[in-house]
Amino acid sequence: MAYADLLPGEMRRKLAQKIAESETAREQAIDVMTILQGHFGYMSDEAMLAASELLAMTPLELEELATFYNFIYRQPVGEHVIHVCDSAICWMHGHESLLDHLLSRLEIRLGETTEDGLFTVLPVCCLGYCDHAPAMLVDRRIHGELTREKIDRILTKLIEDSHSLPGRK
Amino acid sequence: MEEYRQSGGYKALSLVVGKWTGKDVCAEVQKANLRGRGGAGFPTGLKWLGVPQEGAYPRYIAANCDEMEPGTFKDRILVHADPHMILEGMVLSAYATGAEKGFIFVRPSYESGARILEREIQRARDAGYLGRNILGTDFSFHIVVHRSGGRYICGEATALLKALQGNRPNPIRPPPYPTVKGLWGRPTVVNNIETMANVPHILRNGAEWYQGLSRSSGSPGTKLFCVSGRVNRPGCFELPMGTTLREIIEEHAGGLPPGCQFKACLPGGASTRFLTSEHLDVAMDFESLAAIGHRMGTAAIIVFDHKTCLVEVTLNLTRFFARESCGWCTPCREGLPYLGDLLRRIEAGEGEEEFIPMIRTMCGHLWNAYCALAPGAASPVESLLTNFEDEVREHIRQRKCPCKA
Repeated sequence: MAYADLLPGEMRRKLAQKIAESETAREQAIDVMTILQGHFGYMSDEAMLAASELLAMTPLELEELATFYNFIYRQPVGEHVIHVCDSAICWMHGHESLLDHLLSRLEIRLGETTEDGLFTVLPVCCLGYCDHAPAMLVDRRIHGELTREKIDRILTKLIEDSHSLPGRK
Repeated sequence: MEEYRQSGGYKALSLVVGKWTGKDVCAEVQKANLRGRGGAGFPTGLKWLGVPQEGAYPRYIAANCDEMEPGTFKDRILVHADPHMILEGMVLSAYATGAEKGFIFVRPSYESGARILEREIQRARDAGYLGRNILGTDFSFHIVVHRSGGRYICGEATALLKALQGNRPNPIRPPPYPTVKGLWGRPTVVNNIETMANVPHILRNGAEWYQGLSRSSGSPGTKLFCVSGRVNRPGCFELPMGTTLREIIEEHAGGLPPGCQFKACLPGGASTRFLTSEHLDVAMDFESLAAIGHRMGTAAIIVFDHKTCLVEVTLNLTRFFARESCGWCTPCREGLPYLGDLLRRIEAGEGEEEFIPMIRTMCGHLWNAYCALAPGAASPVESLLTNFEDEVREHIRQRKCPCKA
């Protein structure tokens, strides 16, 4: 396994255990890709090759999955991925102006990543938090009843946290 | 789990396992006329009986927690409020159908729910309600949480099973039905988690009791109704089947905010038709809505006020469906963006009169699609033209959205 062998040992063991406990290796495709994209930053070609080895799938078969799902990133994303719901109820509760605010603060367009590589903003369909509209996910965590101030606070905190990490300017 | 047990949880399991036969369980659920809560309302007992007596082993249960129908959040509430009710329901459904393993298919935005389920599965296992030799009998059943990568079509039963197996989740039109050939070619019962949650109550208290909970004869039991949109108290309310739309919106969701008048609502998520104020006294159950040419769907009520442009709403919904189309069949993949473009132009004041018959024709084509996504998507568009054609014509005539200041 030329590519899978290059993964950290602990990760390899964890992935092998998951696969061993399932009915077939392919059943773990999403979980394996979720773990690998956490490691590689996104499902890069290298990540795809490692994953397909572990899952006993051809790279093309895995490509069919990696390009289908909202939360598997086949293209580079920032450290923090923000999914903003744009379905009907969030839309009724001011989604558009909040999205404009978020994008103008980050100085990007929808779908892009900030220059410092910190944030990617993607649209997403109904998150199932319509009773807390308007809502968005930041790194898979839900934030509801959004206002401009709340968005600002979330961004500020994440930026501060990134500055306090070793090796960051 | 303690709380669940104290209020009667796992009592059904101890009454049934090792004492009733699987057929007895199917019979009681069928007698109760439990109907699926995922949107289609198919009789659950009948579905379980679709597993052939001489069918292959092993058999599987797949609990659908992928709810992504806009406006629907009942399953999120259920998982966080009462995970054991789902687990007990799954064990009972496995006992009824001879299944040995169950999967709970959870959408990505419900990750906290996935973790709760994993934790409570462990607790149920430790207590002997799950796993090998349940309650000391030779009946064994294991449950695993399966995380989806996130896409609306995965909520469709055959697509869910494909996704679970690590295949690209384009639906497969039955026959064979999943109950005959599902996961890895074996009989698989797919049920929404709310459906599962009804099962312990039916077995503990009996079919007649269950039917007595409802205000309607054709749709027994209670339902988790979601209300969102322009209401004071959006939320999820467990109420008898057959409660009126008016009561749900006005009493439970607190009605519309000051200055807002009811214009329309969708009764069951994005793939249903608009209801207007003349329908407010309809009983929210499967047959009462069918009788007026509508569907209850997930009973996720989305309320729109007089200031909300329904052309814009319909455009939003159409874009949702277009983006979530799996792309497999032409009517859906090509038809939905086509409709979206016509609606966009109407909303932007660039509409023409001939768009209206074009929209109707394209909606007709959507009913030829391979699965139910496109016909569902056609529903709000068709009802926009049926009930609000004037609003559409005003956009075209005024060459702008008349609802905007």
